[in-house]
This record gives sequence, C-alpha cells and structure tokens, in this order.
Amino acid sequence: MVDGILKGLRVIEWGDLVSGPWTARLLADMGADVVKVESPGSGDASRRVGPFPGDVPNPETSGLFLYMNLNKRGVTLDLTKAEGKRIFLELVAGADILIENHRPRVVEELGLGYDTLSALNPRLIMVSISPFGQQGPYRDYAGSELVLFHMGGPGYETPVNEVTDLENQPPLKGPGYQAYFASGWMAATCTSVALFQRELTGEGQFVDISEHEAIFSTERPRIAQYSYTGEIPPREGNGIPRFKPCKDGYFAGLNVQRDDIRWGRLCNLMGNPEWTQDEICSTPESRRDNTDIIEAHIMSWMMDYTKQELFDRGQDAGLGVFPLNTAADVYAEEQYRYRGFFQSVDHPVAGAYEYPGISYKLSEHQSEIRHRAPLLGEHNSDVFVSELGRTPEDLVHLYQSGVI
Amino acid sequence: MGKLPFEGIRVADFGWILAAPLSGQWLSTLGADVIRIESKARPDLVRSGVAGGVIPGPEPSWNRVATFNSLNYGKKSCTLDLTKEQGQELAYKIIEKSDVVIEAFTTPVVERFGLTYDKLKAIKPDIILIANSSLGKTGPLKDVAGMGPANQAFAGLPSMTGYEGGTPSGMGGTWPDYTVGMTLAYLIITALYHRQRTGEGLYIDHSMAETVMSMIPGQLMDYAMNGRVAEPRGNRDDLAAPHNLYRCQGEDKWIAISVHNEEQWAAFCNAAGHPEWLEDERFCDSFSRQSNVKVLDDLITEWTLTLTNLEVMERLQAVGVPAGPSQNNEALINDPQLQFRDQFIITDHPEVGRQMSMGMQGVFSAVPERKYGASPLIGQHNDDVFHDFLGMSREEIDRLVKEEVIY
Repeated sequence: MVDGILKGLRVIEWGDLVSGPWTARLLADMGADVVKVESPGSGDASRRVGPFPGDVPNPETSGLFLYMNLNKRGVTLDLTKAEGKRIFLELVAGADILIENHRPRVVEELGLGYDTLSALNPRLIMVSISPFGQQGPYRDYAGSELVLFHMGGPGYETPVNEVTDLENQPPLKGPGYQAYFASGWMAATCTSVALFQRELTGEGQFVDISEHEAIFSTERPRIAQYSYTGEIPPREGNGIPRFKPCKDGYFAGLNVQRDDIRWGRLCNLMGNPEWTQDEICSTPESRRDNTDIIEAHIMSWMMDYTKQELFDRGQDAGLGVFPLNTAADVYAEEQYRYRGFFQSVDHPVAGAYEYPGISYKLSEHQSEIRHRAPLLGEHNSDVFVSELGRTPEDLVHLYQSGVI
Repeated sequence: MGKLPFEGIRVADFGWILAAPLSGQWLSTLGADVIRIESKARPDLVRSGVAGGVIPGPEPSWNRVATFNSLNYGKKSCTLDLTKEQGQELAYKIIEKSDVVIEAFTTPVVERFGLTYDKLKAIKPDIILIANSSLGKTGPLKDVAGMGPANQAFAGLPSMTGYEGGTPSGMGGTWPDYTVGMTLAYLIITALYHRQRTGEGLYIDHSMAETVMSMIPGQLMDYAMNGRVAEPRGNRDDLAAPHNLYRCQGEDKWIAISVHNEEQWAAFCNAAGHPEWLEDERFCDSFSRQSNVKVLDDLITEWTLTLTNLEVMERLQAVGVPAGPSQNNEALINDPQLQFRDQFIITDHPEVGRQMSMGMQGVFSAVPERKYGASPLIGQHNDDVFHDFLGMSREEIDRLVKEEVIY
C-alpha cells in the first residue's frame, strides 16, 4: 500500500467534541499530518463523554475521544496566554489548513480571525465551523446537537410512521451526534474544494460552515416539495413501525410496495397467499389506501421467520431488504469483518479495543487507522521542540507557566 | 471573481436515487460539466415520484419531480440502454473524455453494464471512479441491493433510535442518503485534488452502511469496551439536563432546550422566571437534575406552554442557553438565518417553471457564487452529448434512437 493521498499536507485542528475533530479525522485518514491543539488541563470536551472501559472515567480513555482523534498528533496550548497564542500563530504560519469549531465571537476575541491568520500565511485554508455560521441574525446563538438536529428539520420526521399521539410523542433526535457528523463531512468536502482551488490560484481562503445548515441539508427534497405541491410531511403516521418484528428481532424493507414490480416480488416471496389476490392489492393506489390492512398481513407472515431467513429469501427475491442489527450484531457481521471495517487499536491507558474504521477503500492507497489517539499534550516535544525549534528548557517553562 | 473551481472538469454521472446524484451536484454547482447517463428502460427511481412532490400532469412524471429536480442542478441528461453493447460503447466514449465517473449500482449490474474499474482504466488511465453501494463492492454480501432505510438497519442505527424504552425507529428524511452524498463529494473532490498533483486516477469503493456506523462511535465503542448494547434514548443525553423537547403554544409546536453547565442552568432559571429552581435541591447540580429529570421536564413544560417556540428561543438564546424550535419544511422556509444565508434558490425549469428549492452549503471567501441551472429533462441533452460532444452524425443518432440504444 502506498501512502494516503493527502500525505504531505499539514493540518492544525483547534477543535472540540465532534464537528471540528471529525473534519480533521477525515483528512488524517487520507494521510494528512494533523496536529490537534487542546487546552492544557481539561483538553477536548469529548474526553469527558465516554464510554469508559469498565465504566471508570478517565480523560485518556473516553471512547468518543479515542475514536474522533485517531491518526492525529496532539499538543496543548492555552490560547488566552500571550505565549500560547504566539506558538499557535507559528503553527498556523506553517500549515496548509486550520480547522476550528468555536463560536465566531470566541475566535474574534482571541484575535485569531482569518484576516490576521491569512496575513501570516496567504496559502492558509481556514475552515470555521460554527452552530449557525459566521453571519446572519442567529450568528451568536448557542447550538447543541439536540437544538441543531431539531432546528434543521430531520427531528420533525423522526420517528418515521410511528407517531399516533402528537401530544405525548415529541419530534425525536437521532442517536449520538448526527448533526455534528454531517457538519464534519460538509466541512471536509469544502476543505477539498479549497485545496483544489488553491492548486489553481496559489491562494488560500476562508470557509464558513454552519452546523445548522449541514443537518438542514439532509432535508433537501422537502423544500422543493413545498414549492411544487405545498406538501408538508405529516408528523403523524399510521403507527406501523418502519422496522417490523420477526421471529428473532426486527427487519427492514418488507413494506407495501407502490411499484408493481417490487410488489410482485414481495408476493412471490410470501408464496402468493390468497389475500394478495384481493382487490385492495391490485394497484399502487389501492395498496396505498389500504396500507394498514396489507401491512398487518405482512407482519403476521414475518413472525414465522428469522432475520437471516428473511434476509436470504428477500434478497434472492430481488428486494432490497435487510435485518435490523444491534451494536453487538454489527461487530459479528461477516461482511464488515471481510472488509476489515473494525480495527483493533491498542492504547497505553485504555487498552486494546476494536474500533469502527473507515468506510471506503481506495485503489492502491492507504485509508486505514495508522495511529491511536494522542494522550493530552503527547506531542508537545515533537512539535514545539523538534519542529518549531523551542528548547527542552523552554518546554519546561511553558509547562510551569500553564501555557502547555 | 474568477472561475468556479471545477470549470473544465467533466463528470459521467451514472448515479441514481439520492446520494450519488447529490455528490454530482456538488460538482455541477461548482462549475463541472456533469452528464447524467440515464435510461428510459430503467429510469431513476426518484423520477417515478415515489417520494412525493410531483406536479400533476400526463404520465410519466419523470420531469416534474421535486426531489429529482433538487439533486441535479445544471447537469445534462442523455439516455442510453446500457444492457445493449452499443449503449455501453457510447458510454465508454463519454467516459474517455471525462475526469470522474460516478456509479451507484449493485455489483452484478456494474458487471453487466461494463462499468468496472479495470475496464474504465483501460479506456481512460487517469479516471476517477467512485462506486457507491449499500455494503461495499467486496465481501460475501457485495451483491446485495438496498436503499437508505435498509442500510440504516444493517448498520445498527435504528436499534439506538426511538423513544426511551420503545422499539427501534427510523430516522427522518431518507437517512443516510443526504449525508452519504456529502461523503461521496468529499471522496471525489479529494481524488481530484490528488490527480491534480500527481496525475493519478483512483478507484473509490464506498460502503453506505459503514459510513452510517462511522457516525455512531460512542455506541459502538461502548459495546467494544463494556459489552453494552445501545438502546433508544429519546431526546435525552447522559451529560446534559434539561435536554428535551417541550411543548409550546400552538398546535404541535415544540422547542428543543439543552442545558450543559451550571452557568447555563442559572441563566435558564432566571430567563424562565423561576429563580427558585436554583435553590431547589432536586435540581442543584447536573447529577441531581438527571435524577429528577421527569419532574423537571414537567415544570419546564408548564412554562413553555405559555409562549410560542420562537419566544422561548429568543428568551433563552439572549442569555446563552441553546434553544431552538423543531422545524418542518414550512418553518425551515421561514427561518431567517437560512434565508439570510441564501439557502433557498429559484430555478427556472422547462416543465415546472420557476420553483424554489434548496441551495448548496458552505460559504467560500474565494469561490465565485455557485451555478444553479435547472435540472435536466430525461434525455434533454441527447443531441448536445451525441452530436455536439461525441461528433456523431444525426443520421446515426436517429438510427440508434430507433434501435432503442439511445433510449
């Protein structure tokens, strides 16, 4: 395997929790040299999130931190101290990319805005991720995963189909940090656009990513639908779960089929029982109007089969159906094993665990976990002494004065 | 300002449904010449209008579908029957003059259509081919088909989505397709940057289910570290309380509120007009608030029901507490922040006329404004592609139309 396709790029990540760190992770997975800057003492907030091995909290063993920061090096710097800021500016002066996800006002108050940084390094690509973006009436509003997910739209449509009691079943958030991850993918995409453009023009630029917009972008068709037909997706459903129970768990995709080809395949799969000959099953419209009756038939048929049986038979019948896996199931799934998705990573404090890995393969080039996440300030000497030319004595003074 | 970054880049877009076309749209709106290669024998499922948003008119609905028309801005469309050898040969001629090929077929279909990397590399040595599929193009399940919701399931996401103590639920929209569209765009654009520097093409094999799993690391690491199998948590969070949706004035109106530290808690109680909650030992720290979260949620609801969700947002945001309304598409269209940031664009389309749809995201200081051309009618650009671009005679084109190769 040859090196990752971004080898040689130098990235400074001044990130926290998920969106900034994920952006930098995506570049690191491709071979970029990512130096993560954390605050001395507390470090990245994800160090306090967990999960922790054996449920024993330790800032060096938080599963979220360990995952978000694979393939990176880590340093500590207190940016509110003059020397901390000076060193940060030195790092940025020698970097291709700076990624940060702090509120716009915080960045400005520290004097680390793009104008200042681009004067030091005109080739710098600065990627700022913030809850609502750098401009606009909500620019200084506080965001959180919960708030962004719901303001962005997908919460209103979650859970799909199941809501029958509007007062007691509120709109629902997706698990974990889906809005922040979407922001990371978006920021990484825009970073690559800026890199491509820099090869053409020789100049860096500022990229402004809004987390609110990133999760909103997953509602893309709903905007045009409103314009075309005035459609507002109803929150209330028919109560039929999208994932239906079967003999040994839940299963996805065995639904009433609107199109005749797939409906025919489904009937064949079920052995063409008598009820499928009913008039209500004859056209896409009649099937739509009688969804609950038909779904009840499908559900009762499903209870006789295991997830595996439904998967094998359903796929053979030409239907895109899948079992509903749990966290335990995905670790055992042969397909993911074959592709080497889960990778064992050892860590001096946390120990060795299998981590979720990288979701794509590149011909000939590396895209895999190469390094565990850094300990807090682990690469201070590497970066500040070996690369920036401070002396080991300087390092001690910086530590004593709380800069690193 | 100057040129858009991808001017001069050509993309042969065989992608269909949602994720792959969205990745092509990142490129077309940034200047690339993106050609959709479609087929009337096997039209993009989205063109059939299964997902709604179809303007009434004569069947088929192919050109009047909101979803399709917000995923293909400024692309061209030509039609080829790729089950026919001549159709494949014409596709190869387009690929020969392209920089990027996008496909989103199952493995058996890719082989039948002759769109494997080996084949395309022989035609265009520095081609970038991105293959998007449910579970990847290697492994025992490389041949399976499945769309977004089924992918979610195989990746385990619904097993941790839903109301607390409830059954597994589906995430809204067509999750994960629109996030995957960005993933694909990231991979394609990074590959273009790599080619720009080295002259090398690249094959990218992307698994949608793996990308879904890459976004639930906390839950998966908890299994790896502690053998714990994640379950639905509703709107709750381990670290923050209150952290929920609260009903407001009006029909089915909700506000999301999350309080992450003591400073925000103090600001919250004062803004809610309940400074006495600060003295209440049931709520005195985050741990206590977690333990008494149901009582707390009920008290908060009594307050939020007296206001609209926008009023609650304004009061809480004024003191630095994260709060915002649950928004459906109508509310989103009226969101002043999204309006300010040009998230709603108008395109003029030959069949549906002027319609509003969603713009693209990411604001660049040195990239000119994006191009938002209308999405193409099916086969609208057959003459542009086969005559003007490939240099075929109109007689030959007519013959191939009759033979249903160009179809």
